[in-house]
Amino acid sequence: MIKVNNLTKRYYNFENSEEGVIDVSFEVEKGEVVSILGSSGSGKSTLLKLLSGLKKQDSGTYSFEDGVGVGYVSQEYTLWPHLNVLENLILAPILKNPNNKKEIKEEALKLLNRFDLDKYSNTYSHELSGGQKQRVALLRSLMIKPKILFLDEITSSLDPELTKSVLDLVRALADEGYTMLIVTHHISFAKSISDKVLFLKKGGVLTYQNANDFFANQDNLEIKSFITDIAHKYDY
Amino acid sequence: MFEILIEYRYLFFEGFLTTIKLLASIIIIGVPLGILIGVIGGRYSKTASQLISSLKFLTKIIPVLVLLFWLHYPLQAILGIVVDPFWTTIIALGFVNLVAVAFIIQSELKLLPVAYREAGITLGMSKGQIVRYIELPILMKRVLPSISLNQASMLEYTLFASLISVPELFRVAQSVNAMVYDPVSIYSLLVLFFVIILAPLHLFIAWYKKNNVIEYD
Repeated sequence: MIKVNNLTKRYYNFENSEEGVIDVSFEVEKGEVVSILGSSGSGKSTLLKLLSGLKKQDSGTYSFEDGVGVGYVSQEYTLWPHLNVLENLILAPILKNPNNKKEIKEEALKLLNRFDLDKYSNTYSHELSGGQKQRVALLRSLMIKPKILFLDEITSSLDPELTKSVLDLVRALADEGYTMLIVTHHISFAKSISDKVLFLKKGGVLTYQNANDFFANQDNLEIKSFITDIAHKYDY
Repeated sequence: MFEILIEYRYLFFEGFLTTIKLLASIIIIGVPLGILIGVIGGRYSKTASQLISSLKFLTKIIPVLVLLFWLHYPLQAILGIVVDPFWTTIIALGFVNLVAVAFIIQSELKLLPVAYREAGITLGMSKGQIVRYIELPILMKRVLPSISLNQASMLEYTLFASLISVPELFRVAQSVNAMVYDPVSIYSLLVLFFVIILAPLHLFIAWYKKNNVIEYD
């Protein structure tokens, strides 16, 4: 479903004030959930931005199965503040299909209802909690009917209680068969949801393996230490 | 007080008309051009951005009245030209307004989170749609109070035109006072005029700021 071949991109890591080069190749099968792990500055976010079309690669290629749409949710709050929740969900689909306004609105309300967010349909972004904002952003990305979701540390700015609600939604979407690439710092979540783990180091793939093997039979000391550190820091 | 207004209504009306013409010209020059230049500085050109910031700095340190006088006397003497004071006022205040509006737009564009644009791109929206349905409405909601306040200041600055003999409202008030010597009535009328025009504008801006301004996360 996703094929990435020698994809390269020079990037700048603001946190460490360092330049790096993404250089990756991997494949993801339909319906698989892949967690992307790696230390800060390893190129995880750059990789997802490349695959989402937000950045252009320096060289290499990537492709998705024909006709498959892609959704992307970032770590930042991206709900448009001048629109309410419902308007956020329907704007892009209506611009694409102006004749289906009614159906699109009904579909959005149904989606909000399904994930218990319908009571916020007329609410604006600044009235929502961080967790609600990220859940709505996720649902908004579903409105363009993607089969692939790229989620970039969508819980990084949330406290534990709110994080859980977002991760529960991601889990529900994974159960529905979405193919997902997830950048996360929550090891226990990655362990429970992932089919595979892509571990990046300085822009390159250090390992890409089955999630069970990655977590249970890890013999790379660097990765082991990373898992321990990050689990200690982010898992609750 | 109102007897004087009635008796000299034609003079006051002429003065009022001149003030309105000045203000309208200053707004027409400052707002659309300021928005255009601000967008160029905020989005497309670093040079334009630096120029706007430098000009803003200049207009901050040079008082409007000094600028107006400098354009009216020394500059025209240096260039050997004579420009009608009405137009000198429009050029001076139009420039100050343009720089202020361009700076407001440029600063707001720089504050606008890139994430909003990125969300639009990943949802399949075109660049034009993102500007029209996302960036422009957010930007307008945020800059409307500042730009409106600036126009209110411009109305106040038109009073300076009286000092270079533009027959605007204040100049007319001074002339009428010279004829009838009733400063209490005449300047009270002037106070009333500004209260009637500016109080609703300031109240509206305060209300708008409280109810409509968008805060970023």
